[in-house]
Amino acid sequence: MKRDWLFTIGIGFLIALVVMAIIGPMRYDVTKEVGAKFLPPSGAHWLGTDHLGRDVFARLCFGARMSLAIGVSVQVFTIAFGLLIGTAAGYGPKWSGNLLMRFTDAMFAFPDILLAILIMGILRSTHLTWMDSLPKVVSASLPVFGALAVVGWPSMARLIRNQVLSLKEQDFILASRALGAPHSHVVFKHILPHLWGVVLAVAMVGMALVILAEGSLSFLGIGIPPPWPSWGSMINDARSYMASYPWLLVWPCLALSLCVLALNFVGDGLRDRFDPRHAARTDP
Amino acid sequence: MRHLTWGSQSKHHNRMLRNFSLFTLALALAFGAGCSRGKFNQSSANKPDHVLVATIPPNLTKLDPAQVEDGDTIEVLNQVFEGLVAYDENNELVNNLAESWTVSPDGLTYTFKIKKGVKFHSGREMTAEDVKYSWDRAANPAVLSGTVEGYMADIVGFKECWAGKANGLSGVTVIDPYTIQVKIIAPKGYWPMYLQYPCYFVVDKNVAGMAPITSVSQMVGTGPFKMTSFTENQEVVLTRFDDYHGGKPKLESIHRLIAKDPQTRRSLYESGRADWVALERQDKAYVDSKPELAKALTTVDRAAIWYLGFGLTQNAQLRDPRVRRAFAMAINKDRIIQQGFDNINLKAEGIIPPSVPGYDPNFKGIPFDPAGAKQLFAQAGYPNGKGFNPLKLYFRGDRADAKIVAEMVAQDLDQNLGVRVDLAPTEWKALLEMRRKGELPFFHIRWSADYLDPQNFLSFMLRTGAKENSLGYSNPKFDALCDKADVLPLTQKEERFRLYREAQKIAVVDDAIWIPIYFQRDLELVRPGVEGIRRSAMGPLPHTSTDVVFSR
Amino acid sequence: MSSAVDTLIAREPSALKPIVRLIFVRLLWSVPTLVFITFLTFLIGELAPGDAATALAGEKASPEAVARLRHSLGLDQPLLVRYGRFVVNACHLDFGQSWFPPYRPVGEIVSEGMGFSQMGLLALAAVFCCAAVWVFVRFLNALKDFRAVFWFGALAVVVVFAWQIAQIAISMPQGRTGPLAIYAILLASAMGVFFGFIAGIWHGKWPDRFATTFSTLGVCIPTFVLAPVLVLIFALKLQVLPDTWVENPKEGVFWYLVLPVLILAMRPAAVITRLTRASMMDVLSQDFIRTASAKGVPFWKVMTKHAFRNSLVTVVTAIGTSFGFLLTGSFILETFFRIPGLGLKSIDAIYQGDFPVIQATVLLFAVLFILVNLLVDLILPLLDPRIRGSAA
Repeated sequence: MKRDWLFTIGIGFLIALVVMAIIGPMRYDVTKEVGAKFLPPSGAHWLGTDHLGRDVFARLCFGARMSLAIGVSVQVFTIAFGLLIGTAAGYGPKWSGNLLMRFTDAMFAFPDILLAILIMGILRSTHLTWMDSLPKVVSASLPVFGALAVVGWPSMARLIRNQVLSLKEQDFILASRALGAPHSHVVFKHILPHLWGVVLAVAMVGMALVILAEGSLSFLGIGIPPPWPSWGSMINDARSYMASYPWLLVWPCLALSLCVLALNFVGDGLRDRFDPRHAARTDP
Repeated sequence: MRHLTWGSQSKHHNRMLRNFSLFTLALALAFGAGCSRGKFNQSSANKPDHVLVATIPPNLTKLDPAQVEDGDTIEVLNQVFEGLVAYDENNELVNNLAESWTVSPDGLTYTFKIKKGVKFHSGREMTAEDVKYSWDRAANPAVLSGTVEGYMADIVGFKECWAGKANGLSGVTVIDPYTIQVKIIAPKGYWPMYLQYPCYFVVDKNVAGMAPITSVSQMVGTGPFKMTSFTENQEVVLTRFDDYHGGKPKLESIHRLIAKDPQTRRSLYESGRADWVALERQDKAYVDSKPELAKALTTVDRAAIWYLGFGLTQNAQLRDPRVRRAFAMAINKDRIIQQGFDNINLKAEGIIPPSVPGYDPNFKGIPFDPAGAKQLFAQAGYPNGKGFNPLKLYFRGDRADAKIVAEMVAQDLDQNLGVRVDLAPTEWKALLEMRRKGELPFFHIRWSADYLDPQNFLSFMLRTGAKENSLGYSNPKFDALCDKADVLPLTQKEERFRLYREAQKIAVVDDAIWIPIYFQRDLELVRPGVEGIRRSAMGPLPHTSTDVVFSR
Repeated sequence: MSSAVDTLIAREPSALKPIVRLIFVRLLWSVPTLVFITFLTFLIGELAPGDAATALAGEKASPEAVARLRHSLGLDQPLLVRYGRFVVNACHLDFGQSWFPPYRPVGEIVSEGMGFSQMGLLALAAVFCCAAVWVFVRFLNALKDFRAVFWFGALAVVVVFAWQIAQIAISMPQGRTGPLAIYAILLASAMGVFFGFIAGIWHGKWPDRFATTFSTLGVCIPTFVLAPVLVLIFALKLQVLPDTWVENPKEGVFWYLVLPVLILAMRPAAVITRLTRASMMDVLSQDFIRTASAKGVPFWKVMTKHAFRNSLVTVVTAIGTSFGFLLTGSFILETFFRIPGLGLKSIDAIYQGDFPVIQATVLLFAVLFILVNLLVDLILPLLDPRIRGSAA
């Protein structure tokens, strides 16, 4: 029952975060100077202003927007691609599954951050003309999306493959096959509907990992480019001033940690619902 | 492990209790010692005299004077190698390894008398042969120098040598062991200034071969210090050269701790580990809040400018000077200096920095005028920015100051002109590659003097076909002024400066090919007790007079 | 070698054959993995704009000068030729020289950054330490008072660790990836096993709540949040710990290790806590525990002898994989404190485009990852006879 409680808190926090992400940055332009710099918290600037006189609260909310957007979009990509590859590998011939396993093993052996940094090196200086037609902030965050998607999909594909493998042997699927149902029917009507619960639960935790990875890249100064705020780059900026203005550091740290915490709570809660076996193991 | 073997049970219990309390006590003591404020935050009093410990931001990028090109590495190599001439504290070019020099009336032949009794670190006396060897070596393609094309191309025979068709520079001849003669292609008044650039530094011909210097042991020069060790990411150690021709240096050794991170550098100073560190602007507020740090704060002007540049080769819209002028009018430099840089830096009106002769304090660039900018932009065909393609502003991603300027510029252009500017923080090597190919439409970068002359900022950078001009900028009027000024001898100061100043006006006001933002000014903490540091606008001079005395 | 293996298999066919097979199969599979990873790195290096020649030539070089440098580094050769040469050289364990001063051999840079020599010493110390703890626990077992056993055991571990760290810290450079990972995994195992153990025993009570909170926070707070916040508190506000790394400090390296090791240990400690707790609860719900309790075996004996030993499989797996991650994953921490370990070196190498170093680092990380996983899979059957049959 405790888990339900945490699940509710997590959902509540995430909803609050989404609301903040939508309306928070409306009050001020997050890329522009709106007052003197290093202002203390006040009615006009709830969390004060940063080293360039920008509103910290608005930037924090915009950071939430960036983190959530990147987290969700990367997870959507990972799930879509993972479903494609994972189902093919799990349901298809055995060699394809083996190949995938070997590939994911190899990807696991490549340190994530190093791979992401290397990919960012390429993507950041790739400029394609169609990117100009996108909103500024979207085209600015595309490289991060690309790098994290490339790094993230193998583990999801592997998970889905394992799920498909275990589903494949279950009686109702065998029965359906025995009744002469075509493969497409089995995949779309039986396997996929049974997958989504677990996938959703894992995607929540995966999203937390993506947000952490995005934070790491931005912290190293190679994630979301300025002037767009991201929690990671806010932490990085605040580091230079933390001796004199520690609160600038504390807010993004708090926001990022709480967001990841909430996603983990929600992920755990979802897993308890959709994977009773797991729930029984961790919380009898 | 002694306390793990015990006798009887009761005895053992007592012992254990005693051990436990001893351990707790030790732990408490340790923390107590730690808590005595400032254990890691103090200047330890008993430090050795005559040892300078300073930081250096990056690793050394080169060990070979023929190859070196970045300021920090040059500063270190300056202690080890020397050229025939050098700058002094007054930013005047003075003789160093040369005793005197003369130039022929046509301005094509320079004859240098070389000081007698100058010794290499190896103990051998330096002669004109070494000078010729060093220059031949730098121009040799096997040494892989990236700088000689810019600074040696005027010497007769350089092209053949650089192409690998000749073994040496035919224009350089040794007259006798203490005289060397150089012939150059065309008269250039500022040419002797090239000789203080590292690619002209003299190396021991018995040690340095016709290949890049890749180890500390090969670094044999005539400078006041020898390099003893270099560990990447840790430190560079230099020790005194007792037979230095300018007299034995006071310092016994110099330790340069490599500390890329500004916080690390400040912390190294506060903990007393380093006595001379470079700071970043964002540390100013913190330093001001601590009296003992504020006392040690020093500002140093450097002959360098941070500017916005336009690349015209790939972006047709930027070729219209009205567009560039509108950009310049739309950017509020005062705000950048005040808000971004705490008024530390001097706003740049023109291109030539104050520490370079020829600087014009009365020069006014394009003033900030948002309404005028809008109007001009509309005249150019982009009312409210309509029809103007989004622009990418490239800058070094690892520099906090460049990021601040880029953010503010993007804000101004968006607000005042309606131009969409995307910021592109870029790795240094990628930036260089794109610049070389002329792929940067709009960028924020620094140019720092290689010699203190307006030529280095004007004809060198912006003349049609100049090696550094990858912008695709070409204005015959500008070229004519530069060409006229370039050939004048340094003695005709006023006329030269007048011509360069006119050229500067064309580049900055009429064409707005560069938008000068600010002149570089560095913040440093120098501990009281570190004395006699000599500087020129190019940076600290060799530490021949520097001394460190804490015991006084 | 094969004859030795054959004799081994012949002598004890049932137990050894699957293990030997496991090793062979894994090592065989690691070859395509390594080929894939190194080729991927090459490809990325090829696609990235601005190579080492650009960085080396600098701001003032003409395209021709850059081309010459590129030629001297062999970068003008086709990708496959360069890759082929790399593979051949790598097979001879020759990774070339760094392209940047002080132009050291890559093997030297990598082993120094990883701290292999220090790791060797530390491994010795760890063996010594384990033996000492074993003797200590053995002795205390004789005391019958299990509550005391428990607390004094924990104390002994702390004392021994402190003593060891103090001993080793005096002479060797500690700011290397290997030693840091070892300290962190020791700390993390001690914390994780302890918290997980008490959480499993007092399930649902305050120790459990504490351990769960700790493990959740440990997983959720990343290094780049923890490091600046702890530095802010302990270095800038309280001023009891240093805020940056220093080589061979006068105060003794211990104080400089505290924050990095603590931060590094956080995540693995959380993971180990979580898994130990889950596994303890799993075991405690089984019949043989109830039987043992019913038989009248004292509570603490049931917990330590029966429950904990049986949950060890999960714990060891968690420790092993965490260690693998620690060896390859301290980039942010090393960058933050500027600790000259392999993480910092590899990130610097990426920025410079120092490809010999990048290649060797990636290869080493991959090899370590494979070896650690293999090692974990090899240790498991020793701990749990049930797995022994199905090892391959």
